[in-house]
Amino acid sequence: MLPRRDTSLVASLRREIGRVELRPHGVLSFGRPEIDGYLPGGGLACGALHAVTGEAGARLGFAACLAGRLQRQSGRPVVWVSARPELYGTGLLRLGLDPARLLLVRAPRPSDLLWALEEALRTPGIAAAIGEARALDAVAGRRLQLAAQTSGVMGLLLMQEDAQSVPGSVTRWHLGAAPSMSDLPGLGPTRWQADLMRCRGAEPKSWLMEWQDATDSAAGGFAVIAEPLDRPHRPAIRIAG
Amino acid sequence: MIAAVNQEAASAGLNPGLPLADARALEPGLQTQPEDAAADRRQLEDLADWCGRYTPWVATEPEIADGAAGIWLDVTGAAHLFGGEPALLADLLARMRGFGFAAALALASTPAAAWALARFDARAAEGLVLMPETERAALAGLPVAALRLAPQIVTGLEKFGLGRIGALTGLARGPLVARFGETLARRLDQVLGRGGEPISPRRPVPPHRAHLAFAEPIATRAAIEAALDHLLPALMQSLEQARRGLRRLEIAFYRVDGAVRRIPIGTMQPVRDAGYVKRLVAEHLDKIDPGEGIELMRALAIETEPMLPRQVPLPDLVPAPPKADIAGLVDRLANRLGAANVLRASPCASHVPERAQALLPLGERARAAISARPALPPRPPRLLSNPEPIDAMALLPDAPPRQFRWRGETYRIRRAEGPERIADEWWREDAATRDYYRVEDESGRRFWLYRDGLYGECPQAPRWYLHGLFA
Repeated sequence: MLPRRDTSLVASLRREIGRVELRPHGVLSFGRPEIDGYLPGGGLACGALHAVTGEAGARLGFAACLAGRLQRQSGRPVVWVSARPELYGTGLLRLGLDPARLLLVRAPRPSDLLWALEEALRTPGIAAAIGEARALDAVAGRRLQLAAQTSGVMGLLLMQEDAQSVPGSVTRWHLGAAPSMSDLPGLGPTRWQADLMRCRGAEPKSWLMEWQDATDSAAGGFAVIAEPLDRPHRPAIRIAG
Repeated sequence: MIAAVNQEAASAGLNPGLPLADARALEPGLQTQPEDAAADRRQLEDLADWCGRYTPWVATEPEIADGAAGIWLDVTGAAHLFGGEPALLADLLARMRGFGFAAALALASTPAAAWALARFDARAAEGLVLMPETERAALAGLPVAALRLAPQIVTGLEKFGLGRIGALTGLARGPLVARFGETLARRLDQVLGRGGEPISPRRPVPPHRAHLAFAEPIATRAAIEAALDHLLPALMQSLEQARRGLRRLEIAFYRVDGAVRRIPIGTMQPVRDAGYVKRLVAEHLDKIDPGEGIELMRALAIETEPMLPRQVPLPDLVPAPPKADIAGLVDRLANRLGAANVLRASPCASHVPERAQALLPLGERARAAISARPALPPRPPRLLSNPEPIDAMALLPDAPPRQFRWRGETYRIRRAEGPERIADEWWREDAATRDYYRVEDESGRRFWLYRDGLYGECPQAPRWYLHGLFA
């Protein structure tokens, strides 16, 4: 069968390479074909390290939503390592992360924090490990990525906004808050400007996402409001640092 | 007043209880030290700790009298490890002298007899080991004070000419009890082995333990790890025979200088894997200062739980399933970071947001799971442990702020929800009512703010705080 266009051939080959590279541990689907179809392998790779930077609330929410999806799909606990775990269970529940299966680890010293995160990433029995790190050198990043690769646990690194590069990570996301839309007075559903800054096997891309709260009846989920083409006033692609 | 004297002072005729001025008059060259009962006690406990190198069963006397106090060691089943009872006593005496203590030692078949012989038999200064048959005769010759009696009973007995223990053994029990009380009969029974004497060891003596003594003191980490490779499998074997698993372990390091260092280890589930336990111990080895060397190590299974033997899989036939070892992860985290730093969120019965959740160590059972309460307005995923004061501007007293400053940045509010009024629990002091608002700024950042108190209640305007960050 002949390819219709060269660009699509390159893109499909890239996806194929990505899928083969990342397949051993499967992927986490966003539940939205717009995003899943773009990511190599059809979702965010499990058994890999992903960095999430950006606005404090948005990056926390985004990571909690992803970990919550994994937690629900696998039935396994999530480990959250932080110098100050000021997490609030009722609030996390709305993002789909069940605090009953969330292990909070307080590690005030950066060296302890990275050690605890690596220990968690080495444990195949957990769904995901989230670490709130201030800085990461190349060796530490590589170690974390290797640990995730071996065990199949997804690692999510929450970094300060000014973190320009995160060594070792397979993807890097920049999360920004976006004004919510609602015809009623008050706040509408949470919106994020999610920029995929770097991804092995795919070009950078941006989405405007909306999060539907998890309630007792519904699991909650992502919705894509707009892709960059619809929002010409926003930079569609930022150059990864 | 003199509290205690050493051998030289005693031979010069000085006794405890003598006023210091009199003592100085008797012996002008007297050297004195102020008494420090707490330091004496600490010293005794340290020494008892060190005695654990001979046997885990060590007890101290509750009272220090005349500057001296005893330590009991139950060496049943332990003496052969040191070359027999006389060798053990000689070793103990030599080491005590090395530390600079004057000690008298006696080994007898009951604690009471050992107490009596150590204090009242002159041979105890060189370490006295008695066989059961000679023990009786030796005890008979001791003064009745060796029975640990109150002074008035001792003088009473002496008045009757009953100055020696031997004089009491042949007497009828009834009249003796009637005149001198039940204590005398009990002490007599204890010293002769006719009645038991309950003494609690200072530390629990676990049934499963292992120890390793070194011919040459060791000081390097590699040597300690090699010693662990001997100790832990021996302990695990003993546990395996008893079908028990380890929950709490203590590794004790006895240093040449008499100090004892300990590493406590806890596990979430019973374990019997020596390699696994060694990894937990190894995390702490950096904290152990070997000093001039470690001469003995002990592994004590402080707490165990029933654990059935595991069938060893045939490695070639059955591929081992991947270990989903969350308990192992928790153990490693808790042993390095402390159990108080491995937490889970647990709900509490309170409507005040910061008190509605407690972060409990994982070992504690959670009372219930946090559930979504749709009736409540949304709560933020991140709640600051200390609400931070903000400079907020509101147009009306009961309206959400239009803008606020937090950590040097100004936020203009575009959307707001609220107020959600949360009154403090009435039984608390200076309880204030809070009005919570969920606000969103121009760029979409969402915060949880509250006004502390109501307008008109207090003279100055109520303050605003930022309590949480929404996703």
